[in-house]
Amino acid sequence: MAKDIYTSDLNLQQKRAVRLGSKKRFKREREKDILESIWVFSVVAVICFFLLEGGIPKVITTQTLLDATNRLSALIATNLLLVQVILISRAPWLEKTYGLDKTTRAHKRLGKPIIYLLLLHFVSSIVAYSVRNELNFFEELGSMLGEFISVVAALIALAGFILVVISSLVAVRRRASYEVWYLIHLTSYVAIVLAIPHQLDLGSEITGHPIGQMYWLSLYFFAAYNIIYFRILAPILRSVRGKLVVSKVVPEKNNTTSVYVTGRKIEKFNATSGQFFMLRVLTPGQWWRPHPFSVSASPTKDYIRFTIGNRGDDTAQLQNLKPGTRVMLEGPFGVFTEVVRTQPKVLLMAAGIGVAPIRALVASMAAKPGDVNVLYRVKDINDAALLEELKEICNARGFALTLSDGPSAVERENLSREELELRERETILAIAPDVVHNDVFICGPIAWSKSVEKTLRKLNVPKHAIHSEEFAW
Amino acid sequence: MRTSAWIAVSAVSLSAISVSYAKGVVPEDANGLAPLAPVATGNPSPSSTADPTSSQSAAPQPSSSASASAAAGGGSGNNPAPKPSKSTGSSGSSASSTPPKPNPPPAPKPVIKTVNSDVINYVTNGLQKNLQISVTFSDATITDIQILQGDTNNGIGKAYPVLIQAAISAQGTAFGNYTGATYTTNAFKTAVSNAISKR
Repeated sequence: MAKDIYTSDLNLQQKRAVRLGSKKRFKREREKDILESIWVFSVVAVICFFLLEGGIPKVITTQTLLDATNRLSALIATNLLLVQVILISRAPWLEKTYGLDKTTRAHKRLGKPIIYLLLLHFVSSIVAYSVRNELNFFEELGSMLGEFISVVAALIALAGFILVVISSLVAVRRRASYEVWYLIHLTSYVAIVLAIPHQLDLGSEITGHPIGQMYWLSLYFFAAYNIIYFRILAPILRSVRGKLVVSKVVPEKNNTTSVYVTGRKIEKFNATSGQFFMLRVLTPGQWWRPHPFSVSASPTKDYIRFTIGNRGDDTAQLQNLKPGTRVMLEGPFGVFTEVVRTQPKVLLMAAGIGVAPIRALVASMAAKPGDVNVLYRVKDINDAALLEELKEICNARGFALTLSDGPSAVERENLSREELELRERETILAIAPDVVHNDVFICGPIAWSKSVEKTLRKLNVPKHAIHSEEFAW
Repeated sequence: MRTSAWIAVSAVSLSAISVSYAKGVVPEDANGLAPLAPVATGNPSPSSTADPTSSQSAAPQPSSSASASAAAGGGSGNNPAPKPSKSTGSSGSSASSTPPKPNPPPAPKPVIKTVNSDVINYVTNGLQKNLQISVTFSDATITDIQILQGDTNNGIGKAYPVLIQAAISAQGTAFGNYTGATYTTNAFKTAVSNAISKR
């Protein structure tokens, strides 16, 4: 039954051109440079404005130093916090340049510096006021808290931010489930709002000057617009209007299931092969937990197909989805698509459930026979989801498909990094001897992708030609 | 970001920051309070000092700094300390501002007048605050301002001397905010305008 559906995906192949070449790459890099400069300059502008207003006077005393540290750390942290919100808003204008994994990584990296700035702000503000009032630190803290309700709110916000960062630390993250982490992370929105009153109350940089006022107001509104519209409203509106439902659930191999989602005008999502969606199953227990899934066949105007592996958590329940269940889609996300391709020849590498986007790319990539080589790595051939489809498409399009099964070399033989690299090297060169001139798309477990990426770099494949997709929350 | 772009962005940023620092540095701001930007228009210098006779009648003039420092003293000792009591404040100011000396030269004698503002109620975060000031005018020139009642918590007390200086040199309310005491600044400005209108 699944068969008739995916072959229709193959038949869909229309002749279309994809722009290639280094010009395309430079254009993309320029776009990134511009976006990154904008946010660097936003921070610089805040600093400049602070200095122009005489933030650091000529005579530097302990008091002025404390005041300046206090205010500057607060201003920079607020600016970066709003950048954080924009980074995580999944706005298409950001998304199409970076892809969700890159913006998410930037978001992760920015977390800790912001906490340091906020702590610096907290300590230096209390110390600055306590020096001015000739009180000790705790007396001053107490009197601030007693005097300003907004400061109480800000302190709660700080605690919230610290909690969010702690819950996101790698060590903690590994232990806690996605769900716990997600719930804790929601408090950061509350914290951002809780921090606003004390900025209005005590921060004359924000309320004191018309230009400053305008800047902060527009930054707050811009961040709010992006997060509220793109992250919340747009997915809801589109899903409600489209009446998205699960139309069919097809068990593939062990522990994998394909889910077909249909809805009115579903082609309006404009998804392409290689992208993924956040899928939210609208059942009482699961509606608040979206999960990322790759499109595993070229999206058509009738359906979007996802292939879901059972990782033991919520994905286990997704194996038993009933047709007719309402769902919500956020997306499409990712640049694991032909927009990043610059070479005519392509090597596609999939491991495990990472096959889903690779499978979609195999069907839709603009290529002549022989241009595309596919490597599919699985531990157990009985787990090789979508293998039959891959075989059929590769046959039809004249692509070479290599299946490598069995336990991973590391597990089997306790290989050192060098030996492992040697093997990977052999495997890759056997499939694509000219891999240096290929675009390589990699999707699989992180450890495996990282290892393959390293080997490819050793083989002199340029960094910009290696595209790897991580499922980033 | 590419290295070349990164270098360009850093260069621009650093120069922008250093230029703004150079432009923003305030010559003397020893007490480290946020700079007020008095829009110095009109007659910033107290005109009364030009008149030899009025130097006596403008006796409260030097006390403008004295009263400022008094307020500062009240502010610095502030937190658990009792607020500067209203009664002494008002009586002090009225006493000092009414010394019509019995030397009557025919020179045009400036009219010294002390006006108490209304009590300005303002709210910081749900907390009700009162501010009342008395403004001493020499003709139309503000020569002295005293705080009759005001909040002195959290370093707010330190704002008053600066605000008073700013109001005297601006001869009105055209000056910037005291950093960290925005609401108090606003209330102070309201009080000053109120006193001017009552003169």
